[in-house]
Amino acid sequence: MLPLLIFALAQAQQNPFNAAADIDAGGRLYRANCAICHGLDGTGGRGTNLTTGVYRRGSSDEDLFKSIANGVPGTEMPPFTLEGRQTFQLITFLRSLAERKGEPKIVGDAARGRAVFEGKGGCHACHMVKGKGSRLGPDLSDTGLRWSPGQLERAILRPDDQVAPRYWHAQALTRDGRKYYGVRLNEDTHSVQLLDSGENLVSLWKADLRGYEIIRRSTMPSYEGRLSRAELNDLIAWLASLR
Amino acid sequence: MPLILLLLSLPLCAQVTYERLLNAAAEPRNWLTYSGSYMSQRYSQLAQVTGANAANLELKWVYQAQSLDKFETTPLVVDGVMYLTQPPNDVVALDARTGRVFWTYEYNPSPRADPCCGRVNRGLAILGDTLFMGTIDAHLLAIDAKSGRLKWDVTVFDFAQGYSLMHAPLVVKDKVIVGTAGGEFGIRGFLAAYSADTGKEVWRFHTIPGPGEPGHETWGGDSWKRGGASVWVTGSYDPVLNLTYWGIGNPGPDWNPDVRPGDNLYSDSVVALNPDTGKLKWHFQFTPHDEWDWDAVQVPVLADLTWQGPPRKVMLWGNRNAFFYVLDRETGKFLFGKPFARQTWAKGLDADGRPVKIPGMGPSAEGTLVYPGVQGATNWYSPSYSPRTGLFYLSVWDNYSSIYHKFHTDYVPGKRYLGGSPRSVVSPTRRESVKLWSEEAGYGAVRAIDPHTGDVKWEFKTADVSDSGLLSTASDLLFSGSREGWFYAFDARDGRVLWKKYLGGQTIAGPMTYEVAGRQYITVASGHSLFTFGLRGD
Repeated sequence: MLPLLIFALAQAQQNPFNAAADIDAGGRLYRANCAICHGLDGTGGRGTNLTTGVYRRGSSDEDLFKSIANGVPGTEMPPFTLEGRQTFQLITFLRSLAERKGEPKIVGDAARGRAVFEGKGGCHACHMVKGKGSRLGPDLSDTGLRWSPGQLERAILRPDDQVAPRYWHAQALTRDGRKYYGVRLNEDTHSVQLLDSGENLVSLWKADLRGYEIIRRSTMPSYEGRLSRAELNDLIAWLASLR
Repeated sequence: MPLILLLLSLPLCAQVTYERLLNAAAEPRNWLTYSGSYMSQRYSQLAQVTGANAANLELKWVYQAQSLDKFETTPLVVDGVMYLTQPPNDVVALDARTGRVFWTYEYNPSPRADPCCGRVNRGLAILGDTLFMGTIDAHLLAIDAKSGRLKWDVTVFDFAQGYSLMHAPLVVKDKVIVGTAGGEFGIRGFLAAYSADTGKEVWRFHTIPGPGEPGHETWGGDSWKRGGASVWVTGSYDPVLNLTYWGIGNPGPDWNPDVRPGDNLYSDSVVALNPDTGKLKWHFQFTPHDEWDWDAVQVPVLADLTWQGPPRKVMLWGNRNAFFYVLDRETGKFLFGKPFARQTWAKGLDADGRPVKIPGMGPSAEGTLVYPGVQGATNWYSPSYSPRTGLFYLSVWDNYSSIYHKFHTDYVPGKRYLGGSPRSVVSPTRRESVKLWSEEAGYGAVRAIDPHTGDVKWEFKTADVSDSGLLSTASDLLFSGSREGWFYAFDARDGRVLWKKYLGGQTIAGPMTYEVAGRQYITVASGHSLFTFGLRGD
């Protein structure tokens, strides 16, 4: 009966487990089950950022309960067979993450930020937003859900700090002298697959290569000094608005 | 006279007697037990495919499983007929030359059976005209090998309490031996023997001793009642010593050892039992008071070596805890041990083979970084030993770690009883094609180890880790699948890749080989299909 009752509570969007002890219990569950993808601090990685207070599949208790219990089809998020109380404790912990992180407030103007993105910043050369731009860098169409304003600022000013392996680049030189450079889409013992700088899908045998290097630093330049503080604030406002 | 000639020209379809099982190595055209013989060397005398012609291997046929669960089967082949299991618990008989199916026996385990880790099965045993299979809802079945009809079905234990059967049974004499999986659910593991004729239980050996039995004192309080100690893979048998050997799984809860003070016998051990009575002759524990989930979940590989002079009956063991061991299989005496992969939990092994643990490497609330990671430096996938090269081959995860977290878990019958959680960058199973970690986070390798020194004679490194078993042959070939989807033929002497084919799916099973009508075939499961190769033009 208890699971049914708890699921009914979820449907009614009432989280009965929201005391300090529930945050602690939820934190333990989080570290055991979620941190490997969403990061120990919840700011994301393989999984999405959970500290923004806005969640991609809906932000109500019911929405979060369903995402945890059922997983998210079409993504890497699997279902978790937690008890109802545990699921609610996890939700309580997630909400505490969003409340206490003390992120800087958005002070810029999103419309002006868009102009920076498309103009002076030249960001479309690598990034796509809502179907416009390049495929080489991360698609930023919903970046407001993924990254907090503070993370956005760090990514713009210090892009080398954190480069997820899925955006590592590689350069290859074949034995007959052809050069390839692009996003490393896949790799195994014998081959490598790239999206090259011309956005062509390229598959190469390692045995055919004279040189091969994985580039783990960001291919994006730092915008430190390239943008004024006001332009940076505007750009962050624009990116944070993308959902 | 014509009638006699006709009868003589029919293919040999004799029953699989116990004598044939004893002498399985003498009829290499067949693959009569899970590991190819009672010695479990996964070594075949077949030598038609050689280093000189391996480049001419080509696909002969594919069997596509009607299941998306992990395909972990090693088939049997008996006189031209292949018997395999498709997950969770169907049995398929097919023509080993063409892949055409004779019959399929469909068993529907309880939908409530949800074992860790996956609704899988690893294979069958055969005696006479009867196949034997354990099920994920902890039944043992006997199936007629000609018709695919059920002969008997016995309940080994109540699956609702977390018990399941996944490994191929082992037939010794007139008995069928199986052990229970379920160590992540707070079971009390056991091995049991059943009459092959009737399914009647003949003996039961608890892998955790009960009150009054030797070893019971190695479990604090009543932790013995739910201490795990599963059996995940098939054992071996020495008919001269009349001992059957089985690897025993981890103690539970896996990552909170505080609730089970003591060595926790016979978890993480190999046990040597009399197959007639189930009585223990000896045991050897690899990881006393395990804190990391490093089951002794390996097939015991038996070999007869000259050991520092005289011949000796030994057992070779690459353990999940990253140490390679040589044991005397008559007495259980520890002869030799050495790490085969990076490990940070033990200073070494003492004179008796007991690990000297490094303090502070157990799981903790904040997490403890330990090498190897939770999947171990190797796992349940079968190793191979070639008496020709004298090398022991195994699949290794190296430079691989987990952060081990510990917390309290209440025991609830049938629920997971883990006491913690390990985290690793390296996924326990293949999840997507993109390799999302770098080699610094761990890599795979096929390694050839000299049993006398523990030295790595050669290795073949792979970008990703591998869950594939290995097969060696008398033509000095070594076959291996991979997580990446490649299937390889190596020169067993030096590790050179002689042939490879991209099958696309993860291999989580051991390759095997057989012969029909004078042609050698090699079979391996990859993804959700079973692939069979032979030489071109045949």
